[in-house]
Amino acid sequence: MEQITLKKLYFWILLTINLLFAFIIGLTIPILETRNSYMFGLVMIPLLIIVNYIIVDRFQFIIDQLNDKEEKINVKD
Amino acid sequence: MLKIKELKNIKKPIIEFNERKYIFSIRSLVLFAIGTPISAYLIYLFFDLQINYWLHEIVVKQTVYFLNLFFDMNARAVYNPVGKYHWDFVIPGKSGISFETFCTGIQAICVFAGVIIFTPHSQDPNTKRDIIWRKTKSLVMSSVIFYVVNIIRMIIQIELYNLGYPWEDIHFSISAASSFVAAIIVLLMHKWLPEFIISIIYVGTLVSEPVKQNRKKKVKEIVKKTSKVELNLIRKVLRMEKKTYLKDIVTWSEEYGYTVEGDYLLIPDKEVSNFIELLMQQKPFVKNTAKT
Repeated sequence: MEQITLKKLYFWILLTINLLFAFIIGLTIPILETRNSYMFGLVMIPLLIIVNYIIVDRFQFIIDQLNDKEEKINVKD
Repeated sequence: MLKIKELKNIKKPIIEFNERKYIFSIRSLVLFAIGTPISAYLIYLFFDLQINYWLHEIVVKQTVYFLNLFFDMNARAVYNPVGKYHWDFVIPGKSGISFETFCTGIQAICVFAGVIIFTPHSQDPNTKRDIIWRKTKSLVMSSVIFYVVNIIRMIIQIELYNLGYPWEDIHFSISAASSFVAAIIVLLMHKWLPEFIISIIYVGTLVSEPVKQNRKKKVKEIVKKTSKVELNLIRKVLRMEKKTYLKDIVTWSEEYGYTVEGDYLLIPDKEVSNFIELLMQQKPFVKNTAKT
């Protein structure tokens, strides 16, 4: 259980960094001088969405692994 | 074409590394070789488009911020939307430095993005189950490192230029020196994505396999007909060192009951079939140590 909490914290940090980055992009676009500055968002936000999905998928993978381990221990007992 | 067909018929080698098995399909290896340079070039072309000059602005402004923070240089980022590239560094008392797509370091990121995206996945289910996570980690970390190192490179170059060094002298030398960071990225990638290096080794193993098989067949035919074989040929089968094989092969032949005469290895007639059997094993002349 303690392991799951630590992992949760780790993934929470990753998701927060990801979200912060998206937030900074949103704040930056209006102050850019370059023409087509909206392209910053159009290029980076889809990448951040993909990274977000991969982080969540990894969390699911870790949780499944921990659950499998616990099940094996229970069966042995 | 025939060679590719030959390769397809070969039993695929398995490379074991850090308790994981690596087996790659030929299609994924071909895709790796072709897809990496093409995708890297296409990604670079995309970032070289005028619509992506936001990247130039961000890199120039961040560099200017750090130049003024560390060296109080009073540098400015100037936007001049005329000509091919639109951003310049302006330092008081010095001529301006124009900024182009290559200065963003995106070309290095593109090369590694191409490599990471097209690195083949192992066909072993245990090895490939977390490959997307490992690839993402490699891609994010390599991009961040390249981006940061590139900004540090520009800060050093512009400060030296401000101190009076000629731009031509510092520009190319420091740019070349900073590209050594690629070696660090390759090491990191080998930690997270060993498939990259292993797939290159795998290609070597795959290509050398038909040569090994042909050599074994040749030795088999010669021994069947004459009961003897050239020492140099058997050395290659046994993968013995060129410098020491004459000494090693005598010890080896005594162990198996063969004799060395001149440049030839003589096999007694009753041992020929056993010799061929041992020769045609996956690993020739490696005794099976498993106890029954």
